[in-house]
Amino acid sequence: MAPPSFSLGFMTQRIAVILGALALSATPLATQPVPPSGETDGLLHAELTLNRQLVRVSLQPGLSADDGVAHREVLAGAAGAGLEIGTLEGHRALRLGTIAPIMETPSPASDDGEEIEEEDAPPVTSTYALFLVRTVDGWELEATATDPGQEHRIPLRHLMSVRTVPNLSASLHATAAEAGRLDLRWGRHRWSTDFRLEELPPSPRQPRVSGRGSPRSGDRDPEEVKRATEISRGFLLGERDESAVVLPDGARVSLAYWKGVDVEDEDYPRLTTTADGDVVELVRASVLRFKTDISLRFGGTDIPTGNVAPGYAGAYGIWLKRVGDGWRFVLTDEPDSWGTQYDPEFDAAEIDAAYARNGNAFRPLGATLVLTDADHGRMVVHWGVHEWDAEFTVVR
Amino acid sequence: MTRTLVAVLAFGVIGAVAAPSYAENEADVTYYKDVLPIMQENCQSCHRPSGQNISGLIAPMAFMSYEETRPWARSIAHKVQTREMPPWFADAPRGVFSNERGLTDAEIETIQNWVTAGAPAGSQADTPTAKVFAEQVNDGWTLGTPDFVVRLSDPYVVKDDINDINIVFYEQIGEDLMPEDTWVKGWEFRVGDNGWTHHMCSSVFSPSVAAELDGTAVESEGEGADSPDSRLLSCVAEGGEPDMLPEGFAVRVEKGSAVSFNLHYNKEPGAGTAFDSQPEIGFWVEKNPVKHEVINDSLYNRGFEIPPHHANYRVGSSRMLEKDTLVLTYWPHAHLRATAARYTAIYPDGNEEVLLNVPNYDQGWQVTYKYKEPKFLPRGTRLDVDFWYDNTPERAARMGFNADRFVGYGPRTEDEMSLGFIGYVEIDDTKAMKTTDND
Repeated sequence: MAPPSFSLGFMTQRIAVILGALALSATPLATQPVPPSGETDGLLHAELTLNRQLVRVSLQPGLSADDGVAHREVLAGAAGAGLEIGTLEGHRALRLGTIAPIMETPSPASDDGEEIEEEDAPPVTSTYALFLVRTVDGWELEATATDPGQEHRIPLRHLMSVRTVPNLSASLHATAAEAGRLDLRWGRHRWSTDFRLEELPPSPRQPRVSGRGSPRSGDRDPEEVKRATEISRGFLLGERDESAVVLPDGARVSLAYWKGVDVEDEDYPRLTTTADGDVVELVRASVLRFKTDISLRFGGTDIPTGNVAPGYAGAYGIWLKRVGDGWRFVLTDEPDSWGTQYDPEFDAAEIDAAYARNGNAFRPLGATLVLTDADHGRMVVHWGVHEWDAEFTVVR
Repeated sequence: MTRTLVAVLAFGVIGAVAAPSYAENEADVTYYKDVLPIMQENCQSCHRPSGQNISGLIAPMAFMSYEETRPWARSIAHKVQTREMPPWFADAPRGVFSNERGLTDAEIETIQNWVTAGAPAGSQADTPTAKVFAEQVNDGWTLGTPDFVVRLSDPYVVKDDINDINIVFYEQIGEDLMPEDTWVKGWEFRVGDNGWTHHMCSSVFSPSVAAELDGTAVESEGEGADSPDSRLLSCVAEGGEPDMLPEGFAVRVEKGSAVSFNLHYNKEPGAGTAFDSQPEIGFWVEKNPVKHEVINDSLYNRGFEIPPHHANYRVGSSRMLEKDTLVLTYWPHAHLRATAARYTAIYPDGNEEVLLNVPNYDQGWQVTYKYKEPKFLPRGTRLDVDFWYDNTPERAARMGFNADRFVGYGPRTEDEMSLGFIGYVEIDDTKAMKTTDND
C-alpha cells in the first residue's frame, strides 16, 4: 500500500538509503557508528521486558568453560563448588526461586498534595549478584541482594547437551504473557529455571490538588528529551513486549513484539494457510520491530544500521514468509506498519529462517534474542509450537 | 484521463451557467449584498469574538462587520482561492460529511470580484439579517441549553512554570444531576477562555470505580479511554466541534458514573502566565426511544518510533469488525509531525474503499468528520488507519520540534500520537430490534 504522496525529501532519502545499502553490499559492511543506547559497562546483557517489567541478566564476556580452576571445578560437578557469574536485575513483580514480589505500595500523597518522597517508595527493581552453585542434590543459583542479608536460592534444571558452548551465555525467553524462562549454557551444560512477573496491587490514587504538575521545558532540553523518551518507551512497552541484548560496548539490539497475540486468535491459523511466497498477515498486531545499534550479518546478508535514518540505529519490520516447505524472515524499512500492511516496496532484506516445532503449544507470539558471545547471537521468533530462528554475527 | 477532462469541462460549463446569483459584473459586487451572506454562512461560525467554548472558536480575527472584514479583503480572496479557507482537509470522499466546509466556485468568484472592485461596502439596506449563534442565546453553549452540566468541583491552577502538561481529573456525576441511568445524545466541552488548552477528552467510568476516582487526579501518561471500566465519550481540540448524535443514537451513562476531564495544556512558561481552569461538560439527554448505542473508541498504535529526519514515515493500525457496524464519525488525531491520515475499509470480498483521506493533515485543525448518513460496514470488514509523519529538520524548524531523535507516542505536543478515533454502533440483531424509551 503506497503512502498518499512522496515528497522530494522522502525520495531523496530513500535513494540515499538505497545507494548506501548498495555501497555496503559491495564492500565489507562499514556503517557510521551509532551512539550506543545500552550501558557501556563491559558486560553482556540479556533482557526481557514483559508488561513493562524488566528482567536482566548480566555476565562478564568470555567466561570460558576451560579457564580457571574454579570454572573447571564447578563444571566438573564438585558438590559445594560455586562461583560468581554475573548479576540479575528484576522488577519488583519478579518471582524466581525464593525471590518474591514486593507487594507493598507507595503511600498516597499527603493531604497537602506533597508527592511522596522517592526514598519512601518501594524500589522498582532489585539487583542481585548471581552465583552458580553445585549442591549435593543438583544445581542452583544463589542470588545475593545488594541489601545485605538477603540471599535467595533458585533451583535449576540441568541437562547435558551434545552441543558445546565455549563461553557462559544467558538468555531470557517469554513463555507466557507474564512468565518466562532463564536459560544458561556453558560447555555442554545447560540449566534453566522459570520465573513469573506477578500482578502488583495498584498504586493509590492521588488526591486532586490544584497547582501540582511537573514543569516541562522545550524539546531541545536534554532532560526533557530524556523524560519524553522514557514516557514514549513506556507506551511502546505498553503495547509490545521486548527481548534485547546489550554488547559490552553498549550497543543494544532489540526485538519487540505485540502483546497478547495468542494461539486462539484468528491470526494463528494463517501460519498454515499462508500461501507459498506470501508473508503471514497479522490483524491483531503490528509487525515485529527489530532495532539495532550495530550492524549485523545473517548468513551472507548484512543488516546495517541507518536504514531509516542515516547515522542512527537500524530499525526494521520483520515478517514471516513461507517459501516452499520452509520459511524466511523478511526485513522491511517499515517497522511500524501494521501486520496487515506488508508492502514489498519497503523490503530491505530476506534471510533464511530455520524452522522447528518446539515448546509450549499455548505460547503467544514472541521473540528472543540470544547472545552466545560478544560477536555472535541468534534471533528466535516463536508462536505456539512453532519456532523460527536465524544466527547473526556482529559486524564491527 | 479523458473522462476526467470531460467531467471537469462539464462542471465548468455547469458552473458558468449556474453561477448567476452572485455578481456577474464585478462592479456590482458589494459587501452587504453579496459578500456578507457568504461570510455568515461559511466564516462567522469561527471568525467572531471568542466565546467560552474552544470548539471551533479559534479564529484570530472577527468578520462580523464591514469594518472588521475590509482590512483582510485581499487575504480572504487569497485564502478562498487556494481553498485554505474555509478549512477542510479531506480530499475524499466529498459530499458525505455533514460538517464539510467549502465554498462553491461561484462564491469564490464573488469574493474575487469584490476584492478586484476595491472591496466596496455597498448599501447597508442590503444587509441580511444578522446570524444568531446558538451560544448567544444559550449561555455560551453551542448546542442549546444542556439538560445537566458536570463541572470540575474546584478550579485547577496551571502554574507559571508549566509549559506543557497532561492531567486527568475525575468527578462522579451526582444523583442530583443524573438520578437514573440515562441515554445522552449530545455533549459539549467548555474549558474556559484561557487559550492554552490543546485538547480535552472525557471518558465515562462505571459506577463500580466512580467513587474511588471522584476527586482524584493523575498526571497523564496515557491514562484514558481503554480501561475496562471506562468508555470514551469524546474529545475536542483546536478546530473541533461539539457532538450531537443523529436521532435514535445515544450513549448510555449509568447512574453513579464518573467522568474524566483529560486535559492537555500547552503554554509559554513564565511569570504571570498562570491561569485557572475549571472545565465543564454539558449533556443533552435523549428523551425519545433509542435504537442504537453509540461507542466511541480508537484504532491506535502506541508502539512506534518515528526515525530522526525521516520525511514520510508510516504508522499503521488495523481492526477486523466482528459485527455489522454503522459508522458515525472519524477523528484522526496526531501531532506536529503528522502530514497525512487515511481510513480504509477492506471488505470481506477483498474490495477496498477509502473512507477518509486527509492528505494535508494539520495538527491545528482537529476535525471530526461526521457522516450525513451513517456508513454501513459489514461484519468481517477490516478497517485500516494510517498516519504519515515528516520528522525532517525543515519541518521541525517550522513547527518547533526536535527532529534529531526517534520520537514515539507521548502526551506532549512535541511527542506524537497515532489515534484513529471512530464513533459507531454495532448492529446486533437483538439490540437493533430493541428500542429503549428513556422515560
